[in-house]
Amino acid sequence: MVFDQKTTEILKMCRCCFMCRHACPVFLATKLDADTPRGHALLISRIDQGLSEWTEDTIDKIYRCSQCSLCKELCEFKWGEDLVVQAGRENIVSGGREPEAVKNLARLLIDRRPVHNKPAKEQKLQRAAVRGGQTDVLYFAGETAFYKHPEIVEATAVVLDSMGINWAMLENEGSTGVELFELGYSGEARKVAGDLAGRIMDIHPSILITGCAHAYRAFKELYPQWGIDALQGIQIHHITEYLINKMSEGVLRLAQDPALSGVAYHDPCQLGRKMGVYDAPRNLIKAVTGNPPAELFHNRGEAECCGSGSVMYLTNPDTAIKVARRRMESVLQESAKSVITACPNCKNILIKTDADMHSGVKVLDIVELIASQVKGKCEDKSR
Amino acid sequence: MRKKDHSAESLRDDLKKIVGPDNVVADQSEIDCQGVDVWWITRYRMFRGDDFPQPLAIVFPEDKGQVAALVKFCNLHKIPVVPRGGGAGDSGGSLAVSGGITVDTKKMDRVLKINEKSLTVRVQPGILQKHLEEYLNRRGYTMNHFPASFHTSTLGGFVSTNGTGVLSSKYGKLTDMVHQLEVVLPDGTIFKSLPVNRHSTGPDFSKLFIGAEGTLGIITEILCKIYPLPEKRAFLSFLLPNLRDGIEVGRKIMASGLQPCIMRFYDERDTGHILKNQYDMEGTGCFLMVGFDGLKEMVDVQTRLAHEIISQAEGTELGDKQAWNWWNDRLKSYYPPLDYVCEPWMTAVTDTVAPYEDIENVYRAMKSAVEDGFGKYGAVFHAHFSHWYDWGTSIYPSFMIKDTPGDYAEAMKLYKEILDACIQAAIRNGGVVNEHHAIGLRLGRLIVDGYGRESFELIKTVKKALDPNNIMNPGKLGLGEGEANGF
Repeated sequence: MVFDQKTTEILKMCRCCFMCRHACPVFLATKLDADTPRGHALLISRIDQGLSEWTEDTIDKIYRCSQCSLCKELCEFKWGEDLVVQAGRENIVSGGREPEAVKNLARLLIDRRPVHNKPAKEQKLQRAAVRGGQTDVLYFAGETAFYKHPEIVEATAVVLDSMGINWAMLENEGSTGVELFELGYSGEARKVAGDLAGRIMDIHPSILITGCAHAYRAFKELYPQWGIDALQGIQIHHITEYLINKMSEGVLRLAQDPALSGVAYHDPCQLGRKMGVYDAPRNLIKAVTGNPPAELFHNRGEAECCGSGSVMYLTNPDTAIKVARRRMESVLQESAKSVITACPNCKNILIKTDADMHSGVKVLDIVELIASQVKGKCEDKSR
Repeated sequence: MRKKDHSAESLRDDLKKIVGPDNVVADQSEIDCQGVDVWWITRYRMFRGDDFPQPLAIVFPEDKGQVAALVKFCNLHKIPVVPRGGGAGDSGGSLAVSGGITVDTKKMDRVLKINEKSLTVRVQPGILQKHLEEYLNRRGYTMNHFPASFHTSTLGGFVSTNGTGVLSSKYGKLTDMVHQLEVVLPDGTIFKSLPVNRHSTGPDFSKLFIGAEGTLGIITEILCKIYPLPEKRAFLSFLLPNLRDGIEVGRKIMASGLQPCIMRFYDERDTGHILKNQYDMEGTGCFLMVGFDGLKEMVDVQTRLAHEIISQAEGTELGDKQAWNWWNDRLKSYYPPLDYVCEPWMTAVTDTVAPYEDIENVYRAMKSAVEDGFGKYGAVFHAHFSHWYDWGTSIYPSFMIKDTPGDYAEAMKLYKEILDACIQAAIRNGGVVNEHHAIGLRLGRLIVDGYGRESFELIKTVKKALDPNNIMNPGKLGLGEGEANGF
């Protein structure tokens, strides 16, 4: 036996059960049984039993999972298929068998170098929004927002400044470790996470907020699981939760414009299904537009992944885009003019897919929507 | 096109010319994953590490033109073709036991047209039933087909096995749900049955392909009935004194003209489990659950009349709470920890159907065949009756042996002996080889017994006329050499 008892138990349950095929966004995009949770369990089970060896083919399939956990959500008994993929990847990495794309990506993450090819508008951002020093609120943008979608960081700055918040960002954020963890580098993930937690605590913020759903889960759920307790004394919020609180306190004041209605909301897997944050983004949309967002047919806990999970858009971009196309088709089914999400990774892949499909749907991060409607915008004192 | 001898590689190259390079898959991972269905023998063999017969390629056509070209090509070169939907059957029907190619239909998954006036929907065969139902529900309709593998299986697979869902007592089997079929025949021509299934324009030839398990062609388009979503559902649950009284109650309900969508009646062994697990009570007898759906007034009237019929049989009413739980959780029991799938226990379902005058004898003969014939192995038999018609009902029995023989040959021999004894007991007493799980490889050797040798000749003649090269799903439905491959 290669895997621990818990993994073996899940393998036994899932390897011959066909019941979550419909839940797997990768299967729905590729139609391959090897891309289903059952397929993953079957392939890993054969390795566990010594009936197969890892091959380039099987390794490829194990990395074609966005770890969105919809299979687990829709399983009547909540078997943790995502844990099986995680265990499989850790075994692949421990044997040095990971694909070159994964290896290269991991190296960048460990070295705190950008994983995105073109750091767009980075320099402008440095001037516009990045501030260091002592602060009440530390805003963690996450790499995708910082390098690929700085408009999200800029919008966040507008919103925070409108409330007169004393906030800052880290000079060089780096990875939270969650990407490394999901790729199977659990040891390296903990090291990176520990380093980041230390740098955060050097600033001594009382509140840590992030607009990245992956980072939010890392700080709030994974760090304690990994024994990283440095952040225990500070409040950790996803930006949507933070803004809802501020709105209820009367600190965040938003103008309402019904003309902005007709937007759909896509639940990021990490924020919704994994962390249970469903209402805060919806309530913010309602506050700004006067109406709740249009719901995609599969929403909240049953929302399908957009394809960006588990950095699949970097390791398997073709598959990720196929997954994203299906999600964008769901948006089109609702005749929505725009789709709002609450994770820069979701925005990143949906906006690219929208362009590929010529669907004409505007893709926005929720903070951009909020920034357009804040009242009492403050001058940014750092500019 | 000239016939040529293909290596696996040259075959794949030719297939890519037909369906495109992205639609020809020869990854071992996919072949392994498609090599296992829910049949006990498949799972048993796979986890022993046995080498499986494998297809040379798995092909994903995207339209009927590609299917026709594929089949024509394979017919010319005498290459076996195994059509595949969800692959979640329990009889080996989609296993490529003769090599060749698997034609996976799941990329043909579009809803082509819904007709809200005639209440029909035209669909490609590879759509998952779950997705078709979602499509219909969004528009206020349902297909009323809810089998165990609802989430994972394709409509084409259900048609090819003439499957049945839990609402069959009112809405029937697939054969009752289909108006029209389009099928690519083994020579590559495309056959389309008439657009309606009530006519006197010759036989309804769509019936030839419903339940044919892909042995006569590949279904490429299906026109199905749809229904408005029901206004109301209602359930009754009763504990009846014994099996005989329960069957008679069921018969009376169906013969009275009532239309229960659900009627599930459990034998004493199953009833014991239900009472203990769902009602936390001890008791003897047989559990009956009846459900109605549709317009509120009709549901109310039918529920009242059914209540009267059941009450006359001195049933003990158990309320509707557990029945509602059953309905809401109707697919839950098919998820792990489902012992039948997760454990190496020897199991099989041996569902059959018979007219009312024979059904009790069929049940008792099957039970005796398993428990008296194989009691020394600890064989346990239990059954329920879940698909009721005005002329008879199905029996859904299962047998299980937890202590499977360690020796492979002995295990295979025992499995086939139990299966044969059980099914032949059904046939001798008026039942058929199978009611809704189909034949595949599992029951192929018994189909001659079911039809009789002379009648089976007609089936062979039809097969030979349509598929003289025996390329379509060879070895299945008792039409071929599946046994020779160790199944």
